[in-house]
Amino acid sequence: MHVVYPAVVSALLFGIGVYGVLARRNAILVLMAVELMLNAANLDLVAFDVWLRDALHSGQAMTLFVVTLAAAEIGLGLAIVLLVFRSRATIAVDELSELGEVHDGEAVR
Amino acid sequence: MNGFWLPAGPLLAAAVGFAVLRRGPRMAALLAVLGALLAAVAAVAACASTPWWTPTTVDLATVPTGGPDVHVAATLDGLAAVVSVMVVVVALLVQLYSVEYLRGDPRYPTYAAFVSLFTAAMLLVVVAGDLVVLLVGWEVMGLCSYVLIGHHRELPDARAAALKAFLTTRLGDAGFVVGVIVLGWAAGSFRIAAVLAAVPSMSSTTLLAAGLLLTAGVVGKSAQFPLHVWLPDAMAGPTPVSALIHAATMVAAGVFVVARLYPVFVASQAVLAVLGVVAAITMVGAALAALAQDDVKRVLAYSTVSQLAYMIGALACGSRDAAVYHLLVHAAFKALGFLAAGAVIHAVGSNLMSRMGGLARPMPVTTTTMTIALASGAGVVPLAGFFSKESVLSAADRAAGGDVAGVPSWVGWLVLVSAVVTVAVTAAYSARLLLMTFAGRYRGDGAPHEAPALMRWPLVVLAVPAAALGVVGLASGWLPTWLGLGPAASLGPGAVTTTVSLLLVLAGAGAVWLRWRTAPDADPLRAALGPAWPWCASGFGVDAVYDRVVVAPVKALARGVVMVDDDLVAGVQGTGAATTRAALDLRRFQAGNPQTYLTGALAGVSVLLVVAVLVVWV
Repeated sequence: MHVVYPAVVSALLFGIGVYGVLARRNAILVLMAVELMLNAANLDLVAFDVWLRDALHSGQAMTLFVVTLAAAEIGLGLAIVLLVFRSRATIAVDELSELGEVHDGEAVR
Repeated sequence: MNGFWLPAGPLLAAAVGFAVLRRGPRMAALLAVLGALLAAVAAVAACASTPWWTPTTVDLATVPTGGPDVHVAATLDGLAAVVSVMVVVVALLVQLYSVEYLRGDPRYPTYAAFVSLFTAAMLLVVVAGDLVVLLVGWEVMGLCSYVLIGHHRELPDARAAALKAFLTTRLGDAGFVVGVIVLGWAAGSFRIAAVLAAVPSMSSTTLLAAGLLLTAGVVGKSAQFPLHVWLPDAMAGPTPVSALIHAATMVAAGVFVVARLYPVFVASQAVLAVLGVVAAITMVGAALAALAQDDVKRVLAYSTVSQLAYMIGALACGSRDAAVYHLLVHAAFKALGFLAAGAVIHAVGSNLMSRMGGLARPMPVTTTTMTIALASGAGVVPLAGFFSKESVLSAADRAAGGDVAGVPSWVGWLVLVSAVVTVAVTAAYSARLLLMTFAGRYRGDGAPHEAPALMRWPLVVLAVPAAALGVVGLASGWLPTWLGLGPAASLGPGAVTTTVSLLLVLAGAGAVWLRWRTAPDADPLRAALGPAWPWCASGFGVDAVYDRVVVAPVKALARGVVMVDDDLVAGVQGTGAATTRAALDLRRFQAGNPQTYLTGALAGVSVLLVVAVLVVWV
C-alpha cells in the first residue's frame, strides 16, 4: 500500500479535528475533535514507521505514548467538563467567557 | 621675578572682596585700592628686577592633558613689563575714581571686586607664558566685562549692552580657542616660547589657519569691524568701567595678544592683509561715526574703535613697536578722556552734549585735562598722541614703500591712506566734542561744579603721561629697547607724514571751529554732514544689518525650536494617550472565547506558512 493513502486519511482526520475544535460549541465534542487530531497524528506515525522500515519502530513506540497521553487527557478533560456543567449548568464553550476582558461593565461577545 | 605676583594682588582683593560683600563700601574700596596697589608694586618690581631683554619664565605646574601638556607658566619680558605698568596705573586710578563716582551705589562692593578681578585677568593675559593660561585670563575678562557693562541691571539698555558685548566677543573667541588649539598641536606644546620657536617649521597652511582664527578673537576683543558693534553700546556701563575697558583691559588684550604672538601673524601675508583691511575699514568708519554722536561717551567709544584700528594697522604693517607704543599712549589719553567725561557727566547729570556747553568756567581742571586728552588723541604736536600716531604712520609709510619684508605694499598704502584720512576726521570730532562740551553757553539745568578731589586727582595724574609720554618716551629710545628690538628700530616721526598729518589736524579742527563760531549753540556738524548725518549717527547701519541678518533669523530659529519642543513634548504625551486608547480597543479581542483565539492562531500560522513558501520557492 502506498504511503499516500494513510497520509491523506490522516490529513482528513486532522482537518475534521481542527474544524471540531474551532467550530463546535459543545465542550465534549471539542474534546472528541482533539482526540481525532491526536489519532490523525498516530496514523501518520504508524504509517511512516512502516514506510521507512524503521528498525527500532520508534513510530509505533511514539504512538503508544500518544495513546496513553490521550487517555489521561480525556479523563482530565471530561472531569473538567463535568465540574463546569455542575457549576454553570452549561457546557457551551462560547458561554464560558468568564476570564475574558470586560468592556463597559459587560462581557464582550 | 615670578610673573604670577602681578595678577595675585588684584585676584586676592577680588576674592576677599566677594567674601565680605556685606561689610559695606568702605571695606570694598579699601580692598580694591589695596589690590591695585599691590599689583602696582609688583609691576614696578617687575620692571626693576627683570633684565627685560631676556625673558624670565616661571613654570608652576604641568597639567597633563593627553595631548600637549598645559604649563601654568608666566613669562616676564619687556613687553609684559611695559603693558602691565600701563594696566596697573589705569586700574589703580580707576579704582580711586570709582570710590567717588559710585558713592552711594548699593552694588559698589560687587562692582569693586569685579574691577579687581578684571584687572587680575588682564594681568594674567599679560604675563601668561602658556596659551591656555592666556586663554583663562582672556575668558575671565569676557565675563567681567559682561557683569560690569550690565552694572545698572535695572536698565534694559544696560542688560542688552552686556549681552551684546558678551555674545559678540564670544563669537570671536570661538575662533580664538580653535586657533590656540591649532598652534598647540602644530608646535606640540602650548608654551608661548615653544610655539614661537616652532613657527619657522610650521606649514604655511597651519600658520594661515592659526593666524586667521586668532585674528577672529582679536577682532572681537579689540572691537574691530565687523565685530565692533558691542563697544559703543558698552557705554551703558559706569564711566570708570568704560575707562578701564577702553584703555587698560579688554580691548587692549586683543592688540597685546597680536604683539605677543607676532611671529605667527607675520609669517603669513594673507593674515597681515586681513588685519590691514580690517584696520582700514574700522579706523575710517568709526571716526566718521564719532562725528555724529550726541552722547559724549559714544564719541569716545567710536574714537577708541578707531584708535585701536591704528594699532591693528601698525601690526599689519609689520611694526609691533609702533602698535605697542600707540597702545600705551592711547591707554593714557583714553582713560583720561573717559574719566574726564565721567566728571562732566557727574556734574551735568546727562550724557548728551546737546545738554552741556560752557563748562570751562565751572570745571577748569576737567576742561584742561580733557583738552589734553583730546588733543593728544588728535595728534597735536608736542603731546604723546602725536608721536605714537606718527610712529604708526611712518610704519605704514615704510610698508607702503615695500621696505618691510613680508608685508605686501598695498597693505601699507591702504593703512597709510586711511590713517591719514582718519587724522583729519579725528581732529574734527575731538574739536566738536571740546567745543560742544566746554565752550559756548550752558544748555542744561542745574549748576555744574568741579569734580570732587578723588575724581580730580586721577585726571591730573593721567594727564602727565597723556601729554609727555611721547617726548620722554622717545628722547632716550628706551621703549624700543624694552620691546626687545634695540634702539635701531625707529619710532620717530617721519618728515612727510608729520607735515601732512599736522596740516590735516589743523584743517579738521579748523573746519569745525569755523562752523561752530557761526552758531555756538547748535551742533557744528549736523548741517555740514547733511544727508550723511543719520548714517554716521547710526554707525552706518551695521547694527540694523546685523538685526536683520543675524538677530532676526536667530530669533526665528529660537521660536521654531520652542515650537518643535512644545509639539514634540505634546506628541510624546500624545503617544501615551494613543497607547491607552489602542489598548482599550485591542482588549475587545480578548473576549474570553478560546475558539476565537485558536482561529486567530490558525490564521496566523497559515499566513506565515504561505509567506514562507512564497519566500523559499518563488
